Amino acid sequence: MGDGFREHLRLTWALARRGLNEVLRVPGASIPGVIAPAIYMLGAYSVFGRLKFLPGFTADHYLDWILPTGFIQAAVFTGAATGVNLARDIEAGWFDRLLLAPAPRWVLLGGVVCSASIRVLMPCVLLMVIGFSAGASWPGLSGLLISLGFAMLLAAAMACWAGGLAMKFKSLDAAPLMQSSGFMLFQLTAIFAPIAMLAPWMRAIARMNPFQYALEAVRQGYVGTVNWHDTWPGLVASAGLLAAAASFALWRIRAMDA
Amino acid sequence: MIVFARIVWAIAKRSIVRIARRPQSLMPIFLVPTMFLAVTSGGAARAVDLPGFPQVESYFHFAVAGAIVQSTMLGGLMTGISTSIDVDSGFFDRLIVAPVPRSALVLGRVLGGGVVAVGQALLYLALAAAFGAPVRGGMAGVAVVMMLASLCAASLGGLATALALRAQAQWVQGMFPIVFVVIFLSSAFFPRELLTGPAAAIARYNPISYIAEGIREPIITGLNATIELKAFAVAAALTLVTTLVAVWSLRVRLGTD
Repeated sequence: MGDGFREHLRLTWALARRGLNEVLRVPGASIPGVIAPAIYMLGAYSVFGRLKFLPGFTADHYLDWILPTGFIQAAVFTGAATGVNLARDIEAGWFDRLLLAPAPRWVLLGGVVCSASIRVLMPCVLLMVIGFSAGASWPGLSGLLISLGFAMLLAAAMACWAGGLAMKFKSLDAAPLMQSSGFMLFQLTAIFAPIAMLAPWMRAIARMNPFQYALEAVRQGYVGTVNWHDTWPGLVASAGLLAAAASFALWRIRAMDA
Repeated sequence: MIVFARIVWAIAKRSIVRIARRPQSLMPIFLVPTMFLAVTSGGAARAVDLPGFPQVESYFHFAVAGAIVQSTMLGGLMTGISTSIDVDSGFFDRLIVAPVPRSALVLGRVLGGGVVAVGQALLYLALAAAFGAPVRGGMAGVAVVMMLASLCAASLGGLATALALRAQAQWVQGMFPIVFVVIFLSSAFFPRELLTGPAAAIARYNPISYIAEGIREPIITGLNATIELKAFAVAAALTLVTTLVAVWSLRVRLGTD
């Protein structure tokens, strides 16, 4: 590995640490994103918990069904929050100064994305504490690692998407778009009930939705057992989402140079 | 008295025109509840097969009332946000020096939110009819839904206005997630008897449950005097209390109390 590349990684990590510092130094800004997935999980469990009694429902405990959705919600909220922070940096002029730095554009983007991937672990830990305390089943170490791995991967994808939007609109006015676009896309999956039990129009959308495959992968261990057959479609869908979102973000950051 | 009513209506009209002229403010009160309605209707479609679930055309038919409650609660919150904007911009201070009763400044805003809620309710009822979920209570049912929706928005509007007069704008905006929590902890989207976890216990004491059930009954069954009386009593009491709190907040803000 060349010195130049090592230097780029060091810079990426420095920018990632800047993003992480915000969690400790401006806690008020990060609290909503940390608690929102847990609130959503408990709310959905309370309201739709009886769905598990329907014939064809594939989980014994509704909490096992709904807890994994929290990991993806956490990724969506964290990615959006990263984009909102970037929009604020752009409005304040801080990002313009970063663009003058003699560093490749992917490094500037990489730091922001890495911070999202690490930050997402906070809401995930809160979800696990609340979920397991409330009686959710232990998914096994492999199930847990898969949940966290997918949350990190999807947080990176959503940070790229929201960051791309921030660079496109260069304003905090785009915040609702960052927050709602990923959230609504994820809502169009089998969150509340198995895919076979969805309304036909929603089933059709869910089958084309990359979040659906990621959700099925994250649900392993909580509902059923961990196996490669349920893992690889989720990996392909999440990696595809990341590749598309990263391309969009790189395109926007290069457009800022122009 | 007539002069007082005219001032209240003038303030209310300003709130209504303001919403009509700022389409971005319509997004949270229409788009969010409509998307949530679509997602829950598609995702929990089979809930109607559960034993004990009321006889309805579809889960969508059942959940329309929840969307009306959600939309009007968010509309009430917009009343508070609009007050915050007026306070921050200094417009509210100019209103204060006008030779009008100060309580009219609060009542007008609350009334404005209530009038907008009538339009919100009608929009969702039209949406429901378009997707095969008619109001079984007929025109009387529609009128009941409109009145309860109006009171629901007014009650939240009073609370949000009180907060806007005493705290910073961020606190009023921070009530958005709280609205969602309050709705989740009520019977707005699922029958009270079929809720699980903490919501099952809390929904019994949550006033939003009674308002949601009062709005739902004319839509899915027809008018039921007991349910409607309970809903009107709760909604009217809530509106009265929150409006009085808002008037008191204004007095405290002006140092007259």
